[in-house]
Amino acid sequence: MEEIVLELRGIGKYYLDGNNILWVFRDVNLKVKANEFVAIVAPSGSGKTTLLNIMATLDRPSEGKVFIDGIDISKIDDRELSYIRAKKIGFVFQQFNLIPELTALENVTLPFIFSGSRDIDYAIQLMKRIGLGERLNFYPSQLSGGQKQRVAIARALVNRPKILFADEPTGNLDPDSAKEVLRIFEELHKEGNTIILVTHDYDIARRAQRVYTIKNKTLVVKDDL
Amino acid sequence: MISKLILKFLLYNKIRTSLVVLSVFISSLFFISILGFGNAAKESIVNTLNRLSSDIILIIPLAIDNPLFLQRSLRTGLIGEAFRESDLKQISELPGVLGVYRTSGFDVTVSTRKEEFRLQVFAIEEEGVDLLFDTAELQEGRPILVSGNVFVGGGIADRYDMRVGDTIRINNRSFKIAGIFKKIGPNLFNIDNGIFLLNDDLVELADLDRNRVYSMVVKFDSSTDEETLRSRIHEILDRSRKIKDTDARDYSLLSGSAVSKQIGNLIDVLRYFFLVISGVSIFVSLINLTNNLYIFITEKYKQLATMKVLGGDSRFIYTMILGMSSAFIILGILPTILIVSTISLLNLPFILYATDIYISISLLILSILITSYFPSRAALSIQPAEALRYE
Repeated sequence: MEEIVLELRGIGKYYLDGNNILWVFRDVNLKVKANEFVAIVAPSGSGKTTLLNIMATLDRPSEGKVFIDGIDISKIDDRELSYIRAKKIGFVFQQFNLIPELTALENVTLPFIFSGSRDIDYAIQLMKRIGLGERLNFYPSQLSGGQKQRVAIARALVNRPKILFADEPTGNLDPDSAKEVLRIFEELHKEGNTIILVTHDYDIARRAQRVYTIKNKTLVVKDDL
Repeated sequence: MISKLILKFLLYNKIRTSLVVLSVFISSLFFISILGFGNAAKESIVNTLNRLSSDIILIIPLAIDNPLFLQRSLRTGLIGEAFRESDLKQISELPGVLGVYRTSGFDVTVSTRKEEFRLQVFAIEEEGVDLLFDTAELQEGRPILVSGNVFVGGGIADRYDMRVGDTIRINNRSFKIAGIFKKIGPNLFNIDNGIFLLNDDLVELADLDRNRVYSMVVKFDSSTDEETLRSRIHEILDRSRKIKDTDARDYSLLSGSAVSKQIGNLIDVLRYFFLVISGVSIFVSLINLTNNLYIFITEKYKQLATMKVLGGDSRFIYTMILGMSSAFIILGILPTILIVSTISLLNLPFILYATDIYISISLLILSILITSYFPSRAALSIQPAEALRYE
């Protein structure tokens, strides 16, 4: 039986506008197996980042349940949630969100503070793997956009997470850098990583095994790519 | 790694960090200086007073603690409220008392070669003159006081250019300066600013009643309990003057320890006043520090959110903010400790008691906790999804 690493059950999210409830989406159901590459493609403002944040435990749903590696995250406290973020989740942002005061290697090993790991060799191996073995001690300001995003990918992977979430990972990159980052994602998938990626770019979404979109305020399979 | 992160965050804006550290340094140095130098000043003055007149009680007809009697005494002069001969006799018979001597103070006009001024001269009967010489050393002259001679305090001698051998006139009677006391600071007889003569001379020149006891000096055995002796003297004088309520006493017992206690209290009041001012300066520097931590959180809002995404929990946030606050405070206090250590090595008048150190350390820990608590709460309230959504 294949391992389910992420499950969404009846997820909904709304915001209050005075007395009115504004639903972003509702009744979202999804199961992601280990080693799957799933993409959610939808135009800006459709709620895909909100959905990704809920999946990655960065936001709480208004209704429904999220299971990560079989754990119901609605039933755990902030401390356990931090543990899940540190151990089971990797997150790649559109804006990279590197710490400018830290070198590339220090940025990659930053999650060790939270996971308790000390595997510096693995961090260096990851840096070499993404082609930044020569720039370990460079600061983010000394790196190009593509290099920054590669550092961010290494940082997301350094604790060997169960799921790698990516929010528009090529959104801030030039075409060549975007290609390089996507190639890395594909390689990571081939190596057995589970990837969930949101994008507004259909060309990027096509690289995934399964593609979803948000239509009529719910998540549906996108099979017309 | 977390300490490295704290260090990098501290160094990312060096000028601001330096200014916060400087404010902590200045306020802590101010506080410790007032504490240390204040302690030393109090100890020095109290020790001097105790050393000079710890076995003497001066009984004066003036209730210095009672404004009503003080006003009356100032109007009538010290001689207005004399004691009885029998009082003197009874006090001299108390256990531990080595001698009781008549004294008086009187406002006179003093004329030197150059100037004329008013002053209250102090007189003591011949048998008790040694008390003066026990209290202060002579700068010039020999410790023998005879009729027609006076001794002059170092302060007044400097002020009016008086020298041994000079003749001065007191209420138009000539006296020869037989000696000048060394300056000794505050003391029971106010020696620095006094002119001293024999009681018989004063009685004559002021036309006082030779049989009255205007004031007394009691010399007691230093092994005698002063408090017990004071209460026995009070009993005698209260009975003699028909005083039932202690608040109605129209006389005072002054002693070295009482004066030192009063001066010690005065120094304490001054010291606490300055400590409050320095406490305010510490408070302001802590507000500055807290404000800087808030600015740090605002500036590093996205980075803190990123760290939460990476798994940073509340313990990490508390540790980081606590670490930054500690670093600011410790870096500010370190030079203060160095300066205080140097002062201690240089033998300057600077004393820190163990309680001062405990209080300072407790204040330090409290400051770190208070300054980091509210910024930590602000950092903890950061919602990653919200913080990372916008540029």
